[in-house]
Amino acid sequence: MKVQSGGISGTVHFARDIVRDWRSFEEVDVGRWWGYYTAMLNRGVIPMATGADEQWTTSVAHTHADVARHLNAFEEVAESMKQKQAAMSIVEAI
Amino acid sequence: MHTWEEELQAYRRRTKKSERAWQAAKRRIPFGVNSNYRLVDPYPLYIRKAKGSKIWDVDGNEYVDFNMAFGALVAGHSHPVLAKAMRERVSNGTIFGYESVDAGRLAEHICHRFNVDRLKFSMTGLDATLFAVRLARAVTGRRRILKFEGCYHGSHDALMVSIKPRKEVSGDPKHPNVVLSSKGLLKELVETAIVAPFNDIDATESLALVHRDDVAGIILEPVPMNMGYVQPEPGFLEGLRAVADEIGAILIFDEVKTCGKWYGGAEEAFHVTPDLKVLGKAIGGGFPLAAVGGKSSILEQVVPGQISHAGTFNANPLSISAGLVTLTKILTRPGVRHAQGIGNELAKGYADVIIASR
Repeated sequence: MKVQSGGISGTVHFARDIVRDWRSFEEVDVGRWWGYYTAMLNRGVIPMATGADEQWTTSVAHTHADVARHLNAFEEVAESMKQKQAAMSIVEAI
Repeated sequence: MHTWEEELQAYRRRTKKSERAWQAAKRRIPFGVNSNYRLVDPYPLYIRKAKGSKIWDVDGNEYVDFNMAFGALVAGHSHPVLAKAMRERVSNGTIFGYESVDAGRLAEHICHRFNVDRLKFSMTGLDATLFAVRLARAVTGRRRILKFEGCYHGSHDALMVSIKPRKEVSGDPKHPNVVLSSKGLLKELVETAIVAPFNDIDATESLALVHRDDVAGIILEPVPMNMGYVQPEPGFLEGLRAVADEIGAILIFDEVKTCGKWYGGAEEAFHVTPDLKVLGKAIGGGFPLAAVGGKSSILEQVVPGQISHAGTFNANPLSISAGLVTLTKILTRPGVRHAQGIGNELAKGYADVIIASR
């Protein structure tokens, strides 16, 4: 997993290497993203916009408590992800 | 120990009304969504209400929302100042078919804040990028638009190429094929597009030079946000500025998303000034509002009868009021600084969790 961020947005890429262009983005494990996203929803957090190609956005309304709730859920999900696999390919869905 | 199957079943159990809503919507709306980006397995959430940083689905589940309408809600859901202003606006007319004084006020604020001389308002990022492409072609008298592989600029034909090209058809990484991104597009689009690899200035320059007399514009998100979040490498944006200057093309920053990430948009973060900026999403505080701004020498050519720009809902009083209140009363420097601080805290937390979970 790799994190890139700036300003009020960022993302976690489920990939071995930093994504720097489309060809490296193709190495993102979309199945793992889906598992992460679904598991986060089950813990009361919409972690980012819908899609492995999206990012999170924070706002003037977000609080430190919101971040703590997000990270507590992610900690639990990241731990459980070590055991899981879900094959899924990138689909053109525009 | 949870498995993905257990997570899937848990999702189904707690979102039964969303599934019913999706099944009902599908009868009349293909796939039950009105933007394909909203579709996700096994079915999307259907939402009842939202406030601040929280959102509630039709089953009553509460979520902390970090989607924020794909980045459109830097002001948060239903900010009280905006909600009050919009209630007053709705009571006094929602569309006139004439201009309002506030459109000029908002244009003044945007020009100062985002370092553009003049602008035209549109409704969405889609029609604003469409207009930016038309403008680049009109002022240069050229045909081709150079875009980057994996980048998305709204669902209109000119830029619907190589958004998510499959490996089998994408070709040489240094010289990517132009791949149509939807059925229903004309094959001729391939002849007016050039697709380059993001973060590779040498490859981009050589592709631009091949067609140097026919490149109208170079368009990109300074930070591509349809590959997650991709940092432009040092020198890349500066290099594009130099290439555009060398060949006489219009450099267009699609800031539909990035304009809301920093107070003054991407220029504040990367110190590169394009010829045109396309603004959208966050500037409307949750209402549809977009703008194409840039140098006077380009915008002054938008003369009625020569370069078309029109739209019944362009600069409608609802969107303009929302933009004015959002930018001047909510997304102030302190407001944006707060959101950035929260964002930095979240990103650092992710990095720490990833290290700890190895």
